[in-house]
Formats: sequence, C-alpha cells, structure tokens
Amino acid sequence: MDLVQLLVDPLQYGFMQRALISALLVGTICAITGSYLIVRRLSMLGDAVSRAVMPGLAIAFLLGANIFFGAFIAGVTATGLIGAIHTNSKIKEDTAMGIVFSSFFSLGIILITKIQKDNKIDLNHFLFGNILGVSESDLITTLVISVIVIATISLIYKELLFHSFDPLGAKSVGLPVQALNLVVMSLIAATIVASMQSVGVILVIALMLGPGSTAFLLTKKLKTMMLLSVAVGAVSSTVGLYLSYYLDISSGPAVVMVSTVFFILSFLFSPRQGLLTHFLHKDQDEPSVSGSLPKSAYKP
Amino acid sequence: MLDIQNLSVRYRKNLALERASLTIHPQRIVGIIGPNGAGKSTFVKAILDLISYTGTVTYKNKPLKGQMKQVAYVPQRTAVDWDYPATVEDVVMMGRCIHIGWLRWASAKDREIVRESLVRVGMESFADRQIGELSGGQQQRVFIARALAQKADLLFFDEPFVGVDQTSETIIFQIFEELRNEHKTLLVVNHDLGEAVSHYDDILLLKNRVIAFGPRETVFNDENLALAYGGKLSRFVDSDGSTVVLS
Amino acid sequence: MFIPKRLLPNFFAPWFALVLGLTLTACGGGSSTEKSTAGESNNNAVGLLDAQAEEFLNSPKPKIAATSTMIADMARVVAGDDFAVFSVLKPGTDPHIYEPKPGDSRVLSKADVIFHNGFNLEPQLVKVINATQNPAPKVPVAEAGGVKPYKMEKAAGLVVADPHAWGSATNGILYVNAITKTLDAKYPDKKAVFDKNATAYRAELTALDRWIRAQIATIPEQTRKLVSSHDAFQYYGRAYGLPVVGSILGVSTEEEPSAQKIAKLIEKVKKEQVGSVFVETSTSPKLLESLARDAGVKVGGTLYSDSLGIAGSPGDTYVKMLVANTRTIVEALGGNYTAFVPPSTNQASK
Repeated sequence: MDLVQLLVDPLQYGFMQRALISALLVGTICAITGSYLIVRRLSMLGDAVSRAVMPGLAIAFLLGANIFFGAFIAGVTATGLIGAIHTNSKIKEDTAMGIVFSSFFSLGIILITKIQKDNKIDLNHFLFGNILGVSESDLITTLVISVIVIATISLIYKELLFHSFDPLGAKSVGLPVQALNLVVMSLIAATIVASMQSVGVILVIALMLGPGSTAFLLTKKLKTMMLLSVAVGAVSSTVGLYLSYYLDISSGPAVVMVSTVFFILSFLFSPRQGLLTHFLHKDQDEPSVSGSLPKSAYKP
Repeated sequence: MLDIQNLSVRYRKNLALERASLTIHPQRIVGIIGPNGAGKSTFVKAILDLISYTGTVTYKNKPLKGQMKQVAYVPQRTAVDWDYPATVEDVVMMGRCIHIGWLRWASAKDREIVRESLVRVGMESFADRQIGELSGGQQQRVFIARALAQKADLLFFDEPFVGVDQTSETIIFQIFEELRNEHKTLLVVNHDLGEAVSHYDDILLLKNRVIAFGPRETVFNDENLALAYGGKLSRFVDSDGSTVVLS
Repeated sequence: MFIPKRLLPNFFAPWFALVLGLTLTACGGGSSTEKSTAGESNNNAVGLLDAQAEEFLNSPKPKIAATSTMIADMARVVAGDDFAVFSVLKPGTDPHIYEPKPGDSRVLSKADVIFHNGFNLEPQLVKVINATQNPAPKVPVAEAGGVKPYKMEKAAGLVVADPHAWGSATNGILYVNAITKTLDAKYPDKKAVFDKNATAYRAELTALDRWIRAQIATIPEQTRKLVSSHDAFQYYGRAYGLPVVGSILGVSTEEEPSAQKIAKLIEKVKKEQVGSVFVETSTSPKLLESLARDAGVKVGGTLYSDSLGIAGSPGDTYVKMLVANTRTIVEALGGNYTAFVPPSTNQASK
C-alpha cells in the first residue's frame, strides 16, 4: 500500500474525517493555551483545572445547562479556592492545588457515575475521550471554541505577553491583570472541555504541555513558540490518529505518545537547548557579554 | 511632582510601612535606602498600586492611579523569568503596549521608537537576542529602554544593581543622569550603601517609616544612619572625598 | 502569581465571561448531551439512599436478591407475593462495567437467596457476592439452568462465553428452571406454589418463543439483519432467524471501540444493505449514531439489551422486553407486526 493510499484510506469514513478535524482543532487550541501555561509557570494549575471541571460538567448535565458554562464555573471556583487556601493559611500553592483538584475530580466521578445511566453518558468518554464518536454538532462546537480561542489570543497577544513576562510591570502600567487572568482562565476551561472528546480529561494536559514544551526548547519568541507548538500539536494529533487506526490502539494516548516523541527529539537535539547538542559541541563559544557601550558613555 | 501622604501598608498584622509622607520634585534621582525589611520595596509597590495600602498618592495634583502611563516599573531581577521566550526587542516593545492600545498591533512608528530606545542605551545590536543570554547590566539597560519606549516620566527601579558589574553600574548611572536632565524623575531602591549613594540627588531613608528625606548631603549623616541601621555602621571620608560606609 | 485576590475587580471581566458564556450557550447548547432516547428517565437520578433497598432489607418476607433486572423479574413470577425480590442493577444500567456500591454489599449479605447470570456478565458484582459471608445459595442462573453458551473470541485468542443467553425465550425457560429448582430446595413447603407459577410461566415463554420466530419471519430476507451497539443479540438472533451482521463493541462494553472495527462494520453494513441499526438502553448511542450516518442507514430504534426498562415502560418485564424488542425490530426492518397474545392463563405476565 503506497503512502497516498495509506493517508486516504481512513478518510473515506465520515467518522474518521470528523475525528481528524476534531483532533486538528483540539491539537491547535491545546497547543496555544498550553504555551501560555508553560511560560506563566502555571502548568500545575492547568493540570488541576483539567480535572476540576468534572463536577461542573455533571451539574450542567443535571440542570440541562450548557456544559461549557459548567466547566468554566467549576474551573474558576477551583482556582479561586486554591488561591483562598493559599493566601489564608500556611499551605503552599502546590498542596492547595492537589487538594482542590482531587476533591473536585472525585466529586465529578461520583456525580457522573450517578447520572450516567439516565443521561446515556459514559464516564470513560469523559476520562479518555471518544474521538470516534464525534458528531457534526460536536465538531461545530469545537470549531467555534477554536475560533474564539485563536481570535482572543491574537487580539490580546501583546497584553498577554507583557503580563505573562512581567506581571508587576504590567500591573503598574495599568493593564487590567485580573481581567486578563479571567479571560485566559475562561479560554483554558473552554479548551479543556472542547478537548475532552479527543483525548479525555486525564490526558488533555499532556496535549497542552507537550507541543508547547517542544517549541519552548526551539524558539526565543513567544509568538514563534505558539506557532511552532500549534504545528507540533496538529502533526501529533494527525499522526496519532492514523497510528491508532492502523495499529488498532486507543487514539488519545496515541496522540500523546507522538507528541512525546517530538518532545524527546527537541530535548535532545534543539540547536540551542538540546542535551545532546551541548554534548556534541562541547567547545562552542559563550555568547559575548560586553556589547556596545551607550553613546552617552563616551563623555570626557 | 509626586506627592505621598500618610502611606501605610499592613502585612499580616505587621505595619510594614507607617504613614510615609513626602513630596518628590521632578528632575531628581531619588535613592531609597534602608536595612533589610525596612519597607523599601513595599513603599514602591504601594505607590504603584501593586499592593494595597492606605493613604494618598498624587502626581501633578491628580491621583496617580489614573496616570499609570506615566509610570514605568523595573522589577527586581529575581522576579523576572529569564528563560522566558522573549527577545530584547520584545521586551522593549512592551513599553509601547499601552500606547498601541487594545485590539491593535504595533506600527512602524512603534518599531522606530523601540529602535531608538535601544540605541539610547547601547543595546541595538542585541535586539534579536533572547533576554536570558544577556549579562545583568545589559538586562537592566533593556528595561531602561522599555521605560524610554513607554515615554514614562516616573521611573521606578527595584534593586537594579544586584548582579551587575561595576562598569555596567557606572554606565547605568550615566543613563540615569541623562534621563533626569530630560525632566524625568527616577526612584531607585538600593540596599547597597557604597559609592552608589553619591549618585543620588535625594535620599529617602526608611526603616518601616520615613527616617529622613531630602537632599543627599542633609540626609546622609551619622544620626540618621544610626536611627535606620541601629548604630551598626561606621562612616569615614575617603582620600578622594567620597563617603564610605561600613557595616 | 495567578491568584485572583478580589472576585470582581474590573468591569471588563464579568462582561467577557458573560459574552463567552452566551456565545457558547447559543451554539453549543448541550450538543454532547445524550438524553435517554427511549424517553425513559429515572427521576431518582441522584437519590441518596435507595428507598427500595431499605424496603427490601426491612421486609419480613424471605429475601431474594438478583443481580439483573431480568432475573429479578423471573424470580418474582416464580416466587410470588410471599417473597421480597430485589434487583441490584437498576433498569438501564450496564452490567459489564457496573461498579458495586456499599449498599449492594449490604443487600447481598442479607439476602436469603442470590441469583446472578453467570458466564461473567457481571464481573464486579460476582466478586462482591463471593466476598460476602452469606451462606445463602448463590446461583449463576444461566449456568445452573444448563444453557449451552455460544463462544466468543474476545481478543487475541481468548475465548469466552457469551453471557446474553436470555435473548432466547427457550433459554429463558432454562433460567426459570434453575430458579424454581433453587427455591424448591430452599423452601420445600412452598414447592406447590413455585411449580404452579413456573408451569404457567413456561407456557407463556413457549408461546412467546413461537411468536417471536413467526414475527421475525415476516421480515423480508434482504433486510432481516441486525446491527447493534454491542454484541448482545447472538442468542436472540440465532434462535429466531435474525442474522447478526455485527456490532461496534464486542460481547462486553468494557472494551475501547476501535477505528478499524468501526470502519469494517461500516463496509459490512453497506455491503449487506442493512436497513436499520439499533441503539440500546444501557449503552451510549453516540458511536452507533455516527456509524449510521457514515453508512447511510437509519437508527431503527432502541433495544433493551442488558436490562429491562423502568417501571411503566414498554419493556418492564422479561416477557415485555422480548416483545418490545421484537416489535421495534420487525417494524424498523419492514416486517408485519402483530401483537403477542399470551396463553389464556394470565397469571405469569404481571
């Protein structure tokens, strides 16, 4: 079977077409929001939030409300609780995160297990994704979310860059940092819910951090990092999906493994950061430190 | 003119700063000094509304809060993530952020201003370097360029000379003096009491309250230093006339 | 760091949240929500303490606990009103993946007789049953009744028995035999009652068996094919002349769906020109609906696969379940449906 046939064969099925588009969209928005988490050193919070949305989903189901709203509220509540515990006691942030997200997660499992038979939802689908069962309306929702995420990040990119690099400087200049945090928080929650169908709640953080980390080791600018992470995310999702088709393995984990391979390659061979690159070019010069003196320094 | 009245900051039941009141005139380089924990950083952060406080802060007779475009803050080097994927140019462009405004992107004019600012501090050939690749002194100059690009009149520096070599320190002070002569006001938190002190026009000596504030010559005396540092210092006048303080 | 110190510090933030929320509500509105297609919903979804379980435990009557709803129904028919009968699994619950709760252990440890299906239908529950110190008879009804199981290849050479034996009413009779035998042995003074009930029930099941076969035969041969969510209808299909073309999942719903399998099934459905495919009450319909779309077929209806329907639904007894399934299949695949008339002694079909 030649390569073209290999690529085209699965796509004759509607379910694979939808799975692929979903995987691409999800790979893209996870990469973008994940990049942000990485540079803001919020990866653990991202992990916590990805599991904390569970009870929000369950309650939304029960009330017949929109699941994204439920997820968003759960995410914001969890973040707020983490902050409250941390600022009002000796407990450090990582501990607060662990406590909050595991309790939210447990609550979510209890609720979903209770309601799953009546609502014909499957806990496994939430945890591990159900990309083969993506419907057209699911796809449209994911598309809308993706557009919102991409548009928002593009529109407030420079403010996000400033704020994520130097939060104090940004605040002192008058940027509305709380609002920015809330906006990004919303985007992350929306990304998590949209991505659930692809890789599930448990692995969505991997899809957020993997491509971003790969790009982080290869770039010097945030914009480049985000674009590269999107490329890595999209490719990983596609390759992972094809692998799951031909090797008859679970698709979510396949995608994560592919993105891990990319990360390993980047980790070892990045021109500036790679482990093996340093090893192989032991006597490369250090970048020059002196630089030019400011014109004004040449004073008599 | 930066006018501060009854500025107090509480931190978990402790009064980190007690009723500081002073007026800072334009075109001055103010050194904020005091022992560890004296509230120097706290003072600056409160003025910039980064932490909550009681009291009033006005600039040119209007509340400072509404004029934050005029304020540039250069944080402590330890507060910055030097691995962050940003180039020198990216950082200086941040100074243009509020001028560009929401939902718009940088224009050619903004890029020109950024370039000029970098030239001013002698860092234009580093524009494309990732900030982690720079030395301490170079990093400070980049932040100064950012403040220049922002066209701020009030510049705050939080411990700018930590990890900076002597040559760079001299260069930076030269830039400070130029900026001051261009009608800017600079406030510099500096925990080091060495020769640097002679570069400041005014000194604000803090120990959780204002011990003294005024021109360097009047403030920097034994009595005040004793009040601030608890009498653990000695001063002597060096051969070239400069004052050296030992703790 | 990232911690919001004040809840609503800025006018911008709540507006953004509102706009985002409204946008998502407008377009997303629970698109991934799958409400019960058969219109059954147990309003006691988040009931904290199971009232029925409490009633069962406090009952003065001798207690029969069954794992599945079908077996519980059969036990009720055979045992009659003098016994309290309780089904651990609730209607619509999937037995393959069911995780037992402490309440189940309580019920099972207090029961006087325990019936479960056998052939590994309810793996977790069987573990719990064996773990109780209860000396009560624990009867795997299908195995005890002598059902000859069909073999399935689960994965890579592992061969297991297909547990869905109740699909054939003839096997249903074997189930009834096993139940009656156990009750006769434990409560010999009530033997006459059991035998009377069982005999009437057996007659009904025999009539049902004949009826189903006749009904299925009214379906034209080219459309007489079955595709469902999981492989639960081998016994039904083979007993009544309805070839099972395939299913998305195998014999157990525990497994992950595979893209290959779905693709192959789509091909098969198209090739064999299957008329309609069927979702089930106890599993998620999503994958099958997706497959139906891709293969260009309709979803013909919902079948009761591993569980009875809730009280008041068309499938709330074993007999009614088979009748309802038959009706759904016959009507969707273009056969002529005529109602089932149980034999004149009506006692069994309560």
